Amino acid sequence: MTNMTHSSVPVLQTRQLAVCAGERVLLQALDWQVRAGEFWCVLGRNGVGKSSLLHVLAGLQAAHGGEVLLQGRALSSFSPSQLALQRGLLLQHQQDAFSLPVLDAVMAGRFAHGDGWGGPEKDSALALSALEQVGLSGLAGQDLLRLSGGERQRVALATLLVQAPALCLLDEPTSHQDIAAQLQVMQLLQEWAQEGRAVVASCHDINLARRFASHILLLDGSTAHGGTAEAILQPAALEAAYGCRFFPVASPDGVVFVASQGEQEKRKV
Amino acid sequence: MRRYLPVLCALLLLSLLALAAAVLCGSTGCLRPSASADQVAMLLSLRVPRALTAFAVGGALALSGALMQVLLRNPLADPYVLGLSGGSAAGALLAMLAALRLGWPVQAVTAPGALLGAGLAMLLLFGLVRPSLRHLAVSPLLSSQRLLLTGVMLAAGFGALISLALSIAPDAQLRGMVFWLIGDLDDARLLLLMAPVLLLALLWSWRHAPSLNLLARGDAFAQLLGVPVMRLRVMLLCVAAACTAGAVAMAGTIGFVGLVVPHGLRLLVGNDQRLLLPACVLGGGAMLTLADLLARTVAAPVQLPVGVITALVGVPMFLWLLARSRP
Repeated sequence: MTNMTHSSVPVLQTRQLAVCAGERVLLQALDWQVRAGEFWCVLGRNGVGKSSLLHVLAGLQAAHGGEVLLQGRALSSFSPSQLALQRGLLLQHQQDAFSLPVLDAVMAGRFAHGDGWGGPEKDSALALSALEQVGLSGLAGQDLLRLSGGERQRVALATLLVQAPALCLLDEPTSHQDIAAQLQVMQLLQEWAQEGRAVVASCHDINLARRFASHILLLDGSTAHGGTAEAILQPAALEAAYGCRFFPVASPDGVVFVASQGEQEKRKV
Repeated sequence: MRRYLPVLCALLLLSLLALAAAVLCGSTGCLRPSASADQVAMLLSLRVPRALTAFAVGGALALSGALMQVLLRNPLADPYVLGLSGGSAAGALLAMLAALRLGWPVQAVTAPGALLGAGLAMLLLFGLVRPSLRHLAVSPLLSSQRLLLTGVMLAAGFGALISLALSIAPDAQLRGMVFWLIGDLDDARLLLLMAPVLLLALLWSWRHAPSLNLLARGDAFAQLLGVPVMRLRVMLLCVAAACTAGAVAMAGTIGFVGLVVPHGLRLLVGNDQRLLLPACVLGGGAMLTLADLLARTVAAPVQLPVGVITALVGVPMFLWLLARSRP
């Protein structure tokens, strides 16, 4: 398996990666590859390590063991600004204390591309078109602090869009979105992948993942199962990961899973 | 850059007017064209250093306040919140007491004592928060809260030292000490030291203003977009501390400039640090120069401590700004 020569280096590769939260070991010995054009959804129960994994992959948090390669290079060998050109992460929570116009908030994504002073015309054109893509073009002049949670999340999505990294990591990009906006966000991520980026998003909605993602990484507490969406999203694997029953049901968009507590022991939430 | 010029030019004009007024007017009234050359020369030699001192101290305090607000991600932080002023005030008062005991001139030891105290406070602060400066916090608010709590605790400790120094000071000295604490601009000897510090601090802040814009929105956010957050935070703390220490050593703990000026300008010109930081230096300098002019002329020939004027003007102004800002 080692030293395989590919026509292209995977955008993201982990070797024997171990992830911890404090003393708790969340993930061990993860060997994983993400290539350009792939859209991965990371699934698993609360606290299983989805966010921690994304933080390690983004370089915000140190790995407990193993290594992460970005474009074939060790993650730790990048400077912050080099890293910003290669990978971006949509954080789960973005807490702003100071008010600023939405357009300026989005232009922050261009920081690593310039010196922070020049080219405002080009940057603001990019930011405007990014806002349009996330459906917020009407709010460009608004104060960021006056936006709703879902709108702020889409501002962050637009920021990631103008940052334009090869690897887009997203921590629950649909968490604050209504049902229709969830579909739009997932559609957008699918388009990013089709344009040749690598997209990795954590998600709680199995059916959204099944419908839009090309690949799934399913974390079930001790191991991770990675593969194409059809291969991983099987009732048995889902039941092992989530501890509840799943019934496939036919729908106009293909098979969807309905979860049920069934005879399984009831999970205490 | 072009959209910032009108604001900066207006503030620069205000600063020049404030300086001119402070030089032309004083406790003996305003200069008249009929005044003799000797009289003019004497008044200028007294008033020019004082006006420049006021400007430098005001600019340094406002810049330091704006930087602290970015560092702590809290619009209500001020230069004194982390205990640096408490440290330098305690240093100055203890130096005064020691000078009395040893029979040295009190005036000569105040400023060195204040600088020493500020340096000690800074070392203490860095030593205590070093672990949290080295890592990105898991939660976005954690690191700044730790820094803030540590600083507030240090300030409380230095507050106790100040009270101690005041309570054991001989009655004859008490008045001078209290005046120093409230802040006064009589001493212009540190101006030549302070001006380059302020200039360097301004240049550093301006150069890093785009990074500071991102840092204001969160450590992890800034790091993800390419800012070397750990290094920037340490430098930011050093620059803000140097400004505060210099200002306090020169003029005592003058209140409210470092809080009111950045907050007021933020409401007027927005949060873009590329504009806000230079605007703070000009606005803070102009405000303290004018406050000192008031202090010298309102009850002339008696000079009021300038710290009283800044607080008397600052408190209602701040409350008004707070009330009219949207909740």
